[in-house]
Amino acid sequence: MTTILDKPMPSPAAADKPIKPIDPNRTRATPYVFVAPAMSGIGLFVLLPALLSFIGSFFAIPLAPGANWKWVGFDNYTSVFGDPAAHRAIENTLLYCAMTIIPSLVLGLLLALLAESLRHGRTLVRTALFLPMTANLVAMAVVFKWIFALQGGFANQALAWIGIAPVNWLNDTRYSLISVALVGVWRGVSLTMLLFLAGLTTIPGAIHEAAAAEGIRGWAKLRTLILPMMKPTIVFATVLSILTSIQAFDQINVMTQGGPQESSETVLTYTWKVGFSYFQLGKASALSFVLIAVLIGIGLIRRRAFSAEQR
Amino acid sequence: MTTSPVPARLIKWLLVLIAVVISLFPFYWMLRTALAPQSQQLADGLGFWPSHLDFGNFARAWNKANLGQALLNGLIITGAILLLQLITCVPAAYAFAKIRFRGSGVLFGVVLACLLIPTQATMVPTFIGINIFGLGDTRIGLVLPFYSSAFGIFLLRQQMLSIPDALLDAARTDGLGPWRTLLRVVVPMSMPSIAAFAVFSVFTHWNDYLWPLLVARSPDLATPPLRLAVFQQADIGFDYSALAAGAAIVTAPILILFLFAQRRFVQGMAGGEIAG
Amino acid sequence: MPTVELRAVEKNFGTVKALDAIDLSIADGEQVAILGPSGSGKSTLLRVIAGLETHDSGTLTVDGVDQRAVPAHRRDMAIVFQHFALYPHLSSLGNITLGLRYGLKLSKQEARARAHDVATRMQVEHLLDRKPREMSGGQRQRIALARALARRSGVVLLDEPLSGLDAQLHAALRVEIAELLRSVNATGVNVTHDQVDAMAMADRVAIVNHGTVEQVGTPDELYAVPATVFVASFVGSPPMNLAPVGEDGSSVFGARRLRVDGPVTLGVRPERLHFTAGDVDLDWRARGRVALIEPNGADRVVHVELDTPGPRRTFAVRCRSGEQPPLGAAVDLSCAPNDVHVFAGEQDRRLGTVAELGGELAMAGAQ
Repeated sequence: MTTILDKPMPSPAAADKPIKPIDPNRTRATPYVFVAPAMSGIGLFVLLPALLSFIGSFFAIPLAPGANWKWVGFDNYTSVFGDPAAHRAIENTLLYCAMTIIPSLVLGLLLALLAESLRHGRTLVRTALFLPMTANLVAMAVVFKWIFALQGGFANQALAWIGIAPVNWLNDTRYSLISVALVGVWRGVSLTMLLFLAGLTTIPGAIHEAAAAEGIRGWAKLRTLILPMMKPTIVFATVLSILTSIQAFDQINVMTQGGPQESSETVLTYTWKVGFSYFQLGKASALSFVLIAVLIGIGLIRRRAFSAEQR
Repeated sequence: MTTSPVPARLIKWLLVLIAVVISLFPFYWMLRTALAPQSQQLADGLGFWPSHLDFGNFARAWNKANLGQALLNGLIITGAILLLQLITCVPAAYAFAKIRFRGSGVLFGVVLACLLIPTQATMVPTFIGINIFGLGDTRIGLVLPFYSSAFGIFLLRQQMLSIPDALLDAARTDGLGPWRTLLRVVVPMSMPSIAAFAVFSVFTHWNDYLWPLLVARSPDLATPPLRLAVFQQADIGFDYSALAAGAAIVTAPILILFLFAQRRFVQGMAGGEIAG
Repeated sequence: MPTVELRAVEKNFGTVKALDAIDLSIADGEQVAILGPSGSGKSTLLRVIAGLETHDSGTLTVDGVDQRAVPAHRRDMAIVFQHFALYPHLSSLGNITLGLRYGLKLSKQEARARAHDVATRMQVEHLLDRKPREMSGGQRQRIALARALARRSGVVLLDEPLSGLDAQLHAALRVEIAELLRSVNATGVNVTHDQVDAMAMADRVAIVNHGTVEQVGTPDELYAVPATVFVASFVGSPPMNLAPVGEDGSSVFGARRLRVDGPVTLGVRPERLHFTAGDVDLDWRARGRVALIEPNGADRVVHVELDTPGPRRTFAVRCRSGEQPPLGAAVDLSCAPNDVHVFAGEQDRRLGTVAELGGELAMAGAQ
């Protein structure tokens, strides 16, 4: 960095010196050199596997290195569609999404608005509300498992205190999915709130002043000014919430392991079992792709509805 | 915001208070459980604080779960991933934000598409590939799939877009060349978003459970969450005191990092503008 | 010291022609302003000269040396960017020395010495340790200028150097920059949309519009003999009064008819119009009503709404304070034939004054 050149330096004005022309190849190559390492990474570990996963869903895949893939056509898909456990997993995933995405978005927005409007202790409140997002989900799942424990768990102690019989949160088919979804919401709200707070700060102060001057307040202000201006944030938060929810795995694997009787089995935990406990990798790929197809379908419908509304 | 009537403000504070309590309760419960003697766990009931404090739980968790080794693994793996991601994503983000080149639109489209591909679509083939190359159950296998990050490119580019073009013109007339421009102008000016992304990356990979669960089969390689998960499934499954203490140990580093980096992190995620 | 020569320079952005056959020669040590409205291509022109954009055709030479293959930092040029473009994370010293060290490859000591030298000359030494955000707009401007001058280039390019400064500072810096550039004998090229800046700082002004140079001349030439309708309408405050001549030869000067062949525009400077009741035979006259009076220190600018058929048209008349008619008054305006400029043809070029063209164009009295 600090090489000191003691040669007399050519002044740029020295026209007698031959001027080196710009090497067009070098300049043109620079952006490609800049993007190549990053693109190779996502190409190799996101794009290619996604593609292989799709192709692999038509094969029987042995795990042993060097063993040949065997073409099985749609067998993996028929196996998925004929598998009640897979049905259950897809159903549970959609239920889990419904139970987590909407509350996360609504509560996150509400809390962001509340936290923004506080005059005192704003930073402290924010920090407290951000913590769930940062926590290690496996560690927190361990804690939640203890909170939801049948005997001595806080949840049941609290119920007993108001005179309700204990609930077997994690080992009752009726409650297991709700229990893990509660953890998902606890964490999801924290993330969406951060995004919404960020979105709120991008609204210029002049807008608030103009609204105050015109007497636009409360619900009217939220509906006519704040929400429309936060549209990009809302879209981003929705996409992120969907992605987080369909990929829910950590707390489920720790708290219920998909049980009891597949009552909290989601596509990801089930894929994991099919792939890495039963080693049916082709079927696992097919399962992933069924879910992705459902997601793309939902995305397309939403998009159509959105653009129809725009018109 | 100006002068809400008293009941409205009271309701607001009540709602905030409930939210804060729910948000913090698991942390409180974790500490309470970790500090109470194992024998007192059921007897203490709903008392706010355990009747006796007992730090032995931490020692038991640390030793039985071999958390020291796990924390070290976590540190090495998270650090390696962070370093690699910065090296790959910062130049790419700069090129996408500020250099016009043929194919940039298509390539950035690929980045955006990758943002939306869920883990489950890539998990199986990545695992097979890592095994084929003999990297299963190695540190390299834990790090390699994450050496680049579509999210990192996306986030950093977003912020670099706000660097005024005139500054890059100035760097050109100053004769800095592409690499010097990147290191001496773009990187210092993008520090807030680089910091935000760094914190995000550390969170993600310190907390990651799924990939280590697949790859790190030998206990020596276990990362903190994996170690903790194995610990709770093993014989110690009902020693909630030790489990809570272990959870606290695993959670603490990230929590402390967050408390220090909160402002930067939130600003960076908020798309905070570059000072100047 | 260098001369800068542009010959038939063209630049396209996709299908948009940003520069169209630009010819411009800038002499050694000369101060030239490039004046035009936003979107006229004046900034593109500066960027082509600086080497930040490469032109598609034509030649650009500095002291006879073709610059096409010369990258920006190897040209004998320094540039002061719009809004200063100081690196926010570096101190003033760092801002000045960065290019000296890596662009000109000076040693660390040499670069520092130059920075201190130029800072002393500009009396900004006390600012060298400060970062851009710790300085006022005027201080930042001086550091941006110091950064450019420290390169000791023969040509200094300035891109709207005074935009974003408040009015007082603007006026003071205008003079300061002009003096500084002359004192270092640099050739200066100053892009601006502000005609007052252009006139005050430059020996010659090039008026640019739609990617072409409409006229190059001294400030006086531009004012007295505008080459096109555009120049006439852009230079002067208020600008020249302009009125098209109808197809039948009728004009705002009711009594006068012209023989026209294609579109013709007449123009009169505000200070060349007089309020007269007299009837000097040669004068061109128009009638109207006073619509607005603009006080302007010793002068008044009186806006007169003309009584002509067709679209509403107002003429501005400059007169001394106290000589203006009352608001709403009906007035007669008159001017001498050698103050009426005639523009015609495809490019609305100036043909001359009515007096000069008299025989060919003007028909005395009604037909």
